[in-house]
Amino acid sequence: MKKQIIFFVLFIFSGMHFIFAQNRLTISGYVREKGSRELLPGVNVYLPEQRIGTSTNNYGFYSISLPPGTYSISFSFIGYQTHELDLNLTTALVYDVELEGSITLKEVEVTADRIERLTENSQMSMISVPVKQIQTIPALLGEKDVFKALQLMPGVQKGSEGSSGLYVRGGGPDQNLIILDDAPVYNASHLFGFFSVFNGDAIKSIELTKGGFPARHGGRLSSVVEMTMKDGNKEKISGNAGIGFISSRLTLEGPVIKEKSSFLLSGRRTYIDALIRPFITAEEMGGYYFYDLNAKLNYDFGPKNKLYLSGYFGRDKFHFSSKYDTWKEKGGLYWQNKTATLRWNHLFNSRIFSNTSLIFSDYNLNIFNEYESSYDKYSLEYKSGIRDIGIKYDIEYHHSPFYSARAGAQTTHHYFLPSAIVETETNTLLDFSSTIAYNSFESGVYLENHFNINGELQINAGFRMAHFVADKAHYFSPEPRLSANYLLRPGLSVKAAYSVMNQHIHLLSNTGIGLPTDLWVPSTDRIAPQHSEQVSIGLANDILKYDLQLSVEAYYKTSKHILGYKPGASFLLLDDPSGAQSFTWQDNVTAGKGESYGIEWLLQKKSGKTSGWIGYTLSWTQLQFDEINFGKKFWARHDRRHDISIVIIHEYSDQITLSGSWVYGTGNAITLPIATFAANQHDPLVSPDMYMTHFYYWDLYDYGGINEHRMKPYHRLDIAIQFHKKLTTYSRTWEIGLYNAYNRHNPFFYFIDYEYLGNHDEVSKLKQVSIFPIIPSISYIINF
Amino acid sequence: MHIFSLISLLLLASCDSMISEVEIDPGQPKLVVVSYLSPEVDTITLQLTRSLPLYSIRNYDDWDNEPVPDALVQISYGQEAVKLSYDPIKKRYWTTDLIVKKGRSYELFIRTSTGEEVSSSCTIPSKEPPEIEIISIIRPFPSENFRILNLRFRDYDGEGDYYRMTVGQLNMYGYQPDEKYIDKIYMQTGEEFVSDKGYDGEYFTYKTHQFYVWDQATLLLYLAITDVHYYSYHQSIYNFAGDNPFAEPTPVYSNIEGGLGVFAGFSIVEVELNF
Repeated sequence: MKKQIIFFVLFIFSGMHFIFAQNRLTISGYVREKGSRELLPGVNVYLPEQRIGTSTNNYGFYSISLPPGTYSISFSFIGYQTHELDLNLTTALVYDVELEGSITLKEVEVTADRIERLTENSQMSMISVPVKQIQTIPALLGEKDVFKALQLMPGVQKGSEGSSGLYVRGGGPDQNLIILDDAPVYNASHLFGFFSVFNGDAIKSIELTKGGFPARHGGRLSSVVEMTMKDGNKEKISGNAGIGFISSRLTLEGPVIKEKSSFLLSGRRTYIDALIRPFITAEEMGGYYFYDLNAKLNYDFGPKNKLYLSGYFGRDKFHFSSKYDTWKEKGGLYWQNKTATLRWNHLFNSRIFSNTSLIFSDYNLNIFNEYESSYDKYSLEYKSGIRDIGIKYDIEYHHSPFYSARAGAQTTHHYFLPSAIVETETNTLLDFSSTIAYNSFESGVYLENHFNINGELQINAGFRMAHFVADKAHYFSPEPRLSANYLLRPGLSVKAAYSVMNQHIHLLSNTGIGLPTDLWVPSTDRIAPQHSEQVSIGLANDILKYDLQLSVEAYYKTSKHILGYKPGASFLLLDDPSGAQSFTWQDNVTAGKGESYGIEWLLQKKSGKTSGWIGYTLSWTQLQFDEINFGKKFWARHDRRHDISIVIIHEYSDQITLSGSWVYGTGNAITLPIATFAANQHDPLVSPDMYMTHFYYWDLYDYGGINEHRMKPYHRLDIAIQFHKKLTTYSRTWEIGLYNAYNRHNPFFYFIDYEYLGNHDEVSKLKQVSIFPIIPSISYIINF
Repeated sequence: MHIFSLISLLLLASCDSMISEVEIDPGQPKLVVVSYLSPEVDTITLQLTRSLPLYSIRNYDDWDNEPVPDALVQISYGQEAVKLSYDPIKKRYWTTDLIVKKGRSYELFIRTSTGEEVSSSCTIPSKEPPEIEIISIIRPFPSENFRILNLRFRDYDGEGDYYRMTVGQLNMYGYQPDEKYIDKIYMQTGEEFVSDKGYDGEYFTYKTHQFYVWDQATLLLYLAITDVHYYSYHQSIYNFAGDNPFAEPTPVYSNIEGGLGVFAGFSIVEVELNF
């Protein structure tokens, strides 16, 4: 480890010597959307003649330092008209840009050298789906979901039917760092995973990195999903509203002080508890609802300082109650996420940009049950969750187009509450309470160096040092990060990356169903942090003639200290919380290794009358745990040999948009019993001579190995048609969609059914349950 | 629990059309072998049956898990091999010719009349079971004749020890005057099967549930020191969750090469407590 640290420090310092002390003048500024003045991240700032460029950071800021001379600079971004600047650079210049957006992707004028170039970016293994495209992809019940759109990308898979969990390059949903305006979100699911908690109307950009992680990110093994909320229209009040089958939503944004300060408020709620209708009678009542609210307030003090305050609140509640003459009962479960961040951008000078964030995130799950009768009163309350308070500081230094650096530090206090139970009963004088909680600190310090050599070779050499302390445990984790991009010829580049990631906090999730009984727990003296190393190589091709981007990437990833449940472990111990065994989760988990490799192909068209993508992933994921499958390697449940997604969006006219998506995936690997057998147990209480005749007729299962069986392949076609109409003050869209258009019965889970045939014969059959047949949906959206 | 049955009702389609059959090949039956070796028992016995594959037609009458007679069953220690003979009445293989000693490793080999072969091996623990210490005997209700027993034993130093602690009460009202029946007494705290992983050299403490003392009572305490196969096998059966959809699948441990079941070694001590 020491050697690696020394090597990187030397590399970094030697890199500095490449920079000639030339007389450079800086052009810097902010890029905004015309009209709303929304700051735009990821905008390309490119000089085609010199073949150099940069892009705006998360806050819309760019900085580029050039020797005096004449230049032609283009500012381009998907979904917007490109802005050209021709100038004679004689002094430092502050140049803010406003890009004109287009309602439809068709309107974007595409010319050969101005689209976003995949080949110019040294960051590999990153997916960004334009939010405008997400609004058009057909979705389950018309509910547009940013996570479901990510699942349509190669390298990213979904779990079971309907679930919004992300499985990235063989890693589970616990290995993704999901951040919304710098705050981590711990349970990104509504309705047991059928929808994610992110309202697309409030999101400005979404980027998923699945490999070649830059040093500024850390804390999870498999991916970083970075989402930025819109700031809010600074010119006028605007918004949109939508009504769908499951939920309705309203977004309002507008200026507080024109051009200086704006707000954004976006909310969603289920309004018909139609799902629980069948269960409602006079005595029995039950219901389910979810809501979420995104709020943001920002103040622009000027080019040097900006302040942002954002928050997210969301809750899912499932409840029932019974009321009779002699007794009554009520109970339910609910889970909620709350996040809040306060961020301050500060520009030291035209080359140095910094951001300070104060972060708060809280997730908890509550299960409650109260029963009351004339002679007894019982109550149970179970709570589990995690709360974070953190501070983060990042600084960017844009020296020249040939060198830039980023550095920063972050520390977070995690308060883990894996379980807090209070159970009382008057009848039996039961008064039980038990709380298991942990305090811990997770910190990281990083340095990234970005070199651009001759406009052909780009290298990002970074290093992150992570630290974790909890209870009796104390871990230092060095993480080298390296990525490179070599331009073979214009439009074709080869990329490679190597990264080491560590994860100090763990999600214990039961067999991947995605139930809210998932628990977040810290590393301890007995449970080491999870660790992974990933190497990836790829080819990126910008086929400018057809406005296509092709990328092929191969990766190999190994992980160790990953956690799994021991056989038979179940966290649904609510049958008897005060039972004989004390709840020590550390005794119920075991550590193992993982190996994952594959190739991903993506052909993408981000703009034009017809847009979309075709993705194909061929991958293998295997695990090895000493205590599972008796130490033999086994396929991960989510090991998916083939994964295909085809998404096509066609703007037939200004009024009509057609879209369709087709997905295919190899079935999950599951454990199925293949035979029953009876086996004797040794019983010391029976005399030795007798115990062997004392047969115990257990119907024990022979499983033949963990995850040996493949479920049927999953495939599904979704189609939708949108009718747009633009009126004077607002525009409206009707969307009619069809989910699972050819009614494929995809397996959700398997069970064994026994049929009696007569004559003492019985047959056991393997049956599958599907949950989503063909489902039509209608939704109505207005933009004002 | 009420809540989760409602949730699963919600998740499960109530429509029958959403349930369909899945094609699956029924497997081949496998041989199931169960046998234990301990120095305290003179007669070595072995159960040999076959597993019944699922996803095919089975007849109730087959469910007795018919034993497999006419097989060659052989246990050897080094060069000495002993063949077990089949007892059709007790439906098991047995021998009294095998000497079982602490620390020895034994090999098992079976070949059926149809040519199927399985094999295994186990080692008898080299140490005797540790001493059981009675901590206290409590009378929880002064007016009632119940007792609770607190006891403990200390793990030997060095990892890799497995134990089984079982307590029973001699039942005075058996069916036959000369047959002993022992009722199991369950524990409030303390596991029946334990491993010293993470607890090396520590005490394993037990507290029984209350048991009734008539005019007199006899408790029998059994402490066995076992090999890893004995422990893993019984632990996996104890954890066996069957059809519980919320629990992880629980494969039953087996150290039988080519088959199912267990071939394990242990050494046991019995302590009698009279009241």
